[in-house]
Amino acid sequence: MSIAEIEGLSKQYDPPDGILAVDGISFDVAEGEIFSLLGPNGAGKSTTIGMLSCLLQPTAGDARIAGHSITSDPQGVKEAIGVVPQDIALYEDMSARENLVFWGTMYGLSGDELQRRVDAVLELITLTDRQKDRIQTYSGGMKRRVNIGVALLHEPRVLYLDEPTVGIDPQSRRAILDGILALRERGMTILYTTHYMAEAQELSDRIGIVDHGHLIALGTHEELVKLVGEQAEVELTVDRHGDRLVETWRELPGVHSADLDDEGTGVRLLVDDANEMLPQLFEAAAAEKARITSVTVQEPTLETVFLHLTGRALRE
Amino acid sequence: MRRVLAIAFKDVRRIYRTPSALLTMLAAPLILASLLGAAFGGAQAFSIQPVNVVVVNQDAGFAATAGQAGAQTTGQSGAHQALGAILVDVLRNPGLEDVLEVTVEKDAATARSAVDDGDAAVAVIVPGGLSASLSGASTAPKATLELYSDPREEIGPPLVAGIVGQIAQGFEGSRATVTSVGRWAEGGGSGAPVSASEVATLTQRATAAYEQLARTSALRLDQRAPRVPGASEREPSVASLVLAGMLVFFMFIGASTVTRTIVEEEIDGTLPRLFTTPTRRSAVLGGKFTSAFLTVLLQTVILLLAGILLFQAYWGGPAAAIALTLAGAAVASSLALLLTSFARTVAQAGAMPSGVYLVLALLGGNFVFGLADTGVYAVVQRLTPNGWLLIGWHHAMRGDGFGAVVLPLLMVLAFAVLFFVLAALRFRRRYA
Repeated sequence: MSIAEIEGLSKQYDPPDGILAVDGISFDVAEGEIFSLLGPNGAGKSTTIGMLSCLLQPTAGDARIAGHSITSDPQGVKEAIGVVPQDIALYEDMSARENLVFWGTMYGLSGDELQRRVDAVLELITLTDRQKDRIQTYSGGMKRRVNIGVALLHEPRVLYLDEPTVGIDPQSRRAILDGILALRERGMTILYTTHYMAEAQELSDRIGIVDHGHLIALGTHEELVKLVGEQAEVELTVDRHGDRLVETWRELPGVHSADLDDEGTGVRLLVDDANEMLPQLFEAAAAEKARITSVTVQEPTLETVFLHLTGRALRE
Repeated sequence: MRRVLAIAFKDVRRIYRTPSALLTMLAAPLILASLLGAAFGGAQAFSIQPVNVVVVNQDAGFAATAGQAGAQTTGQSGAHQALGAILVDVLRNPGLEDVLEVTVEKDAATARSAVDDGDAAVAVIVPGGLSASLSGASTAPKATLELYSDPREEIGPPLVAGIVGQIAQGFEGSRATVTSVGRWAEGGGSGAPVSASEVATLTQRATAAYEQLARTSALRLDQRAPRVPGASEREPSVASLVLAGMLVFFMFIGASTVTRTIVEEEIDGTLPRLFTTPTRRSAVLGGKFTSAFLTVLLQTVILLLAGILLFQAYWGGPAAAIALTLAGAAVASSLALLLTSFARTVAQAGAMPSGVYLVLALLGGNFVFGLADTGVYAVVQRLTPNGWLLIGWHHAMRGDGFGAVVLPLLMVLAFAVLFFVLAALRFRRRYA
């Protein structure tokens, strides 16, 4: 059963000539699942979350969240959702408890219920012992936990997490990902955006790949990988002439895409058959008097899928 | 309503936790009022330095008239004092010590050089024949009291001349009495001739009587000024008028300190996050208005109390003061909201309202410590919300009663409603 139904959602800033940030996106999110929107920066993920949070007015289309339309019943939507913004949105000169009490009041909680929920969230984010300290004294990871905790106060039916692990240390990231998985265990529906392939792969029941405002693929991890077929991803490091070699390799039969990294020495290729292609790649390098210093062949991943679908690496 | 109050209390708490905001809202108006009050003659800050006077008493006394010149010159002469000594005593009277600082010198040259050197403003040189000249005897020589003063001094010399002149007039009065008594005695009283020593004795007695009367005056001076119809009960001190101007000016500044948080929160992300909660945008706007209102209210109460304690300011009757405080907080908050609605950056939200308030303060009279009742300036002042607020406060401070502040109150509230409606429309469009 779908708890979120998104139909033809579009957003153009400053129409009619402004940027079309989201172009007719449609998807459903089942109750209790973790659905990830995966895509590079600027793909339209945050704009989509903005519309689904009723912060931005869609240019076209609509969405129903827990039965409420984002265009005709935004108040109903807001009561059903919890939003964790990409950047920390807390009052730094107030303590964690003061923040939680304030945001809980904004979500309509009061009295004993408010205090009970604040205590429960502090326990969940393991900050009970630091609850009276001002946010400005916290580490980045602790702030992220409070940032998430705010959105959990009213026990929303759908939780939006907009790139919640950007800019934090691996330990805090691990803690956040474990927390999200624990929320799923409790039956919470989660809409997650990220540009980290590994996060989407680990967390998600289903993934929507977004690029340039379009939803270009949608499915489970396995379903998406199948889109690539038998193709393999080959990563090579060369000592020189990376730019010329990319052009040469791209022309070889059996090479679907070739992509040079920013340093100009790492090349990522999507090929039909790695065993068959590797000798040809070495020959071409020798012809350019370049030496291949490392080779990695790996099974298709979401990165491979993105490369396959767009011809570009996800990191771009 | 709970959400509105939660937003308001959150903002008030944050503002009063911010040292720079407290400095702007509370310390700055008090410091400025103190400085301006002192500069423009605040009653508590103003005092007159005593005038340094050097006195040389060369008076030989009445004995000189009776052939005993040089018997005594400065102090008591038996039962009665010589006139020179009386003059010195009067100048050194404790009642004049706040005004005159008197030093007695032995000779005139020393006294004049004290003035020349700037150590004294005036030298009073009592001639040797002062008492003799006023003895009432027909043969008495004339005497000259010399006032040697520093030409650069503007206050001291006329002050001393006035006091010495008063004393001299008293002496002259005594002489006239004695002369009249003498003539009466010679012309038909006892018929016996009056000798010089008898005249001198009479003069001494008259002087003693003058001295006694001066101490136990039968008359009492009661200064009263009848109230002119329409005039105020009291005139506020310059310091309290300055503080009123600063109070009104900083009410607006204080309100903007709060409403600026709208832009700060928009940039920090807490305002957009607030809009993702079920809190309606009208509640957010209401909360911001309430927080500005409460902050300014608290700020005003603190400044009013500080004015009473530090400047002995009188803010009018309780009803007028409370009404003006509430109306002032309302108009300051609504104007601050309106101005903030035009700001896109924190810098704009800080600088732009401050510039507007400065212009309003110049037009409304925050830096002019009085009111114009007629003329162009009176019209200009009445075009501004702060001008009306100041008019209200000035009436209250003059004890004019609540009726006198009703019109200013209504005008201030009208401005408040206008600004709030415009601000609401602006924010509705901005956050649609």
